[in-house]
Amino acid sequence: MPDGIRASPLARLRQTTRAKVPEVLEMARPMRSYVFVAGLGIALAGCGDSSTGPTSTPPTIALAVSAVTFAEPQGAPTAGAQTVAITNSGGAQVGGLTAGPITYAGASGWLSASLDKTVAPATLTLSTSTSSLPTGSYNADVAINAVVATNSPQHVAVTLLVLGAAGTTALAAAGQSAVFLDSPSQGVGLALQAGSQYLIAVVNTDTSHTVTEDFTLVGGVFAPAAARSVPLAAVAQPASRSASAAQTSGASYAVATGGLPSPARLQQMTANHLAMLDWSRQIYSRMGNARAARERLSAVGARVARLSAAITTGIGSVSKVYVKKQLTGDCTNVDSIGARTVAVGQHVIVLADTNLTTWPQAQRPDSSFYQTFADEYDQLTWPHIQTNVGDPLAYDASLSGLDKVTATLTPVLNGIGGGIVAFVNPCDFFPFVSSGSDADFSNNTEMFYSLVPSANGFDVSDWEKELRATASHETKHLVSFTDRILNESPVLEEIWLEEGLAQESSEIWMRHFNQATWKGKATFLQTVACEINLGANAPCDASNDKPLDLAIGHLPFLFTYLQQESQSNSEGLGADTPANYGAGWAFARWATDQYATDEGTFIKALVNDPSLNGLPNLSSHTGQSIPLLLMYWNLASAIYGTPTYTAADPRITIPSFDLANIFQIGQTKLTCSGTPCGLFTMSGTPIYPIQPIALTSGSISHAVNGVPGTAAAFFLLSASGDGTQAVQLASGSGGAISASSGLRLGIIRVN
Amino acid sequence: MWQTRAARLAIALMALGSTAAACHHAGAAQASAADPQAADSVVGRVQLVGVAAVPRVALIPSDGGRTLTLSGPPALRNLDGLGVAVVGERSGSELHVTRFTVVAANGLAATDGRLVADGRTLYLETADRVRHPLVAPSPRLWEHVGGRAWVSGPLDREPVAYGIIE
Repeated sequence: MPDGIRASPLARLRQTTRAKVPEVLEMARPMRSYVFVAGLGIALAGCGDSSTGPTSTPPTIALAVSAVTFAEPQGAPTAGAQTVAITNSGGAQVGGLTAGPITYAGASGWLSASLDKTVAPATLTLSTSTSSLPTGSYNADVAINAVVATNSPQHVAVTLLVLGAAGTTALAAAGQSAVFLDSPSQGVGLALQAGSQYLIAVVNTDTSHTVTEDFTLVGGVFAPAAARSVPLAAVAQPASRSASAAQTSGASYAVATGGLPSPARLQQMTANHLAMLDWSRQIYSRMGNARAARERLSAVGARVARLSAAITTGIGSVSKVYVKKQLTGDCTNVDSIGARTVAVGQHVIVLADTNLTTWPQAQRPDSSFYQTFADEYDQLTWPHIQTNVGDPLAYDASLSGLDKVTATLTPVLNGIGGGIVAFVNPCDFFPFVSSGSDADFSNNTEMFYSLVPSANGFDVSDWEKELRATASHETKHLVSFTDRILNESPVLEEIWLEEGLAQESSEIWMRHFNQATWKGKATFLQTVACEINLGANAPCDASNDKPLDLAIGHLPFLFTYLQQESQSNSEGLGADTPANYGAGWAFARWATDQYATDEGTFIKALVNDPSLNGLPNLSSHTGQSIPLLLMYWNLASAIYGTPTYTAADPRITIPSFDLANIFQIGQTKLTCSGTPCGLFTMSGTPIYPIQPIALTSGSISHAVNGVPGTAAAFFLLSASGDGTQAVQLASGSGGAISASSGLRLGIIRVN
Repeated sequence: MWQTRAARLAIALMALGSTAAACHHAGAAQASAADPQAADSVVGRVQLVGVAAVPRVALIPSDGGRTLTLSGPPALRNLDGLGVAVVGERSGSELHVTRFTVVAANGLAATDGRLVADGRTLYLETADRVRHPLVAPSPRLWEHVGGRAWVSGPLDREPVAYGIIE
């Protein structure tokens, strides 16, 4: 971008002003210099010794402030007057003072400027007339001239905010909040108290992350004397935080070495899983509904698999199973493996790849694990799925008729794109066809696939822990396919919500092992410490035998999402892996907490919707508008510190989790081999993922570029005194924001 | 509202594109120009069904027709959530896209073009070779001079929203 192409509104205005009055400026300066130098030369000649003669400081214009902001509700007759003191910061005398011209950016005629004297010290009085102006932000520049001053002209930048109908909002206590969903141009006057702080969210309610918007947050105080611009550090943390027991005790928790794959590898595996899910959606979309496909193939006489199981239920028997071997390709892009039936439960069959070369005995679990896994599936996972998600076998009569979910454990997944934790293959829901355009090497049953332990992945112990939780995640995907097929839905769920709800499934399932409850504000010690043995200070997983889930999936991805949203405006629902696994889960969890009377009923309704997906699906089942959902979800997930307040509106919270506590302890209280280490970033910084832009009350003009749809930009406004702070959205360049903008303001008083 | 306007715009743009293409591929292009429907043109909303490894998209037709799976230019993956007009060859529920135009974003008419800089002015050059000077374009658009982008809202005003296509 060329320099100065998009300067701030005030800077641009100054450029314009200079361009319009070049003659005066360029002629005046040489003339003054000439007079001054000539006079000095005469004086020096008279003294005869230049080294000891008296010096003279030239007169200089000094302005008490260089920017003034007016803010008034729309239709108010005047915005009152503000004054700027003008003094001489140099020598001699500043005389011949004049004010003007006034240069406007956009609408003109709303500002007047006058001086009480032509000799400094003097007072510039500014007044505005807003009665005819629509809501928005307006800018002007007032030149202050004095021919004798070396720095003439000086400039006073004037911003006028004409506020919308919101008027003044008195967030009288910490925890109170206000949102402005009706229009992007709704301004707000915040009744400030000295020392109070406000978290301001500017949410892009556009429904896709591909729709990005720029804006400028503008503001000013109603009380003229307080109008000022204060630059602050870019990163703000709250002035004080409440301390949890763990914080005050100074407890720390040692992370055992080895075992888990590296965070980067975990992320790659998850990304591969998502790619597989995308591919599943394509298959569904390309092949159409499985019912219709079966009927179509029957009609043309194609070879359709018998409605009987290819999978055998006898322990020790080996079945031929087709396993997708790449992230792309069609339903024939498979490896054929031998899979031994290693456990059979009431609702699940477990198959293990027989290839001892690709899955050596040393990387296999004790054979008893398989039946233990099947038993747990029957006793915990199956009832959980039935209660909270749906029936994965509702289409079984049209498939294998086994009346069981099949879990296939195979190293084929370890080799897909660097490893993929698990997936469901939609081809399995379509008829087996050996050749032709509809060729499909379908296993013709409700099957999910999992990778296996390996030297560079999960060790056997952690793999067992991961698989147990993964089963509840993958079975949710089976329910989704089943429901959409039976409903003859036109398209599968949006990826971020499909994954988000699958994450929610395993999160709920994990309550069998951690100390979380629905809306129970679960802490670090009640969640993460129940998955990773952290020693005597965190005894929840003392036996080191509980499943792994939140600590390696939900929470790290949510942290990354929020961090990237806050620091680079590069996130948004569906934008990437953290968005799907982290934000998708947290958004689904938030919606469930806020709008469900029963978790299972709510989730089932979302999963089983016959036609809707994504945000429209959530909107339909919560009864709330999409902008409202996005606004409150963004406010609730703005984890920038540990709140010191109790939220007056529960919608600005995620009641099931104390995420601030989880992030704070995870980032500051862990040690790895005696060295501090973070759970969510290796460095342990930032402690909290959201880094709001710091502002101090007074004149505000802060531009933000490229906020993706569904995401937000955050500010932390600190009140330096009492008064009324106007806050309003302007366009990216500082002009009036379009009425069509999807941007909306939300504010929480946080301190 | 945008669907009607978008559909008209799409047909117009397709006709323009077909006319230009006719210089080189007269037969196929004329068929498109004469009857966009016969040339497998569809207006609808994109839903992303692929990530980096799987560059495909689904299209929900505005007329309520069956969801299509799109293949073709990798840039299709950057259209998630947008209203588009596509032209291509249809086979069952698949459409191989040869041309597409972004026509709407979040319910607002959008203009699709290539970003061209001339001094301190940034232009959006549309398929008809007309250069539209952008009013106060985002620095993020300046970062993609030479690339293809869309902006929403009237072109004589600051864009409401924008996105980079490629």
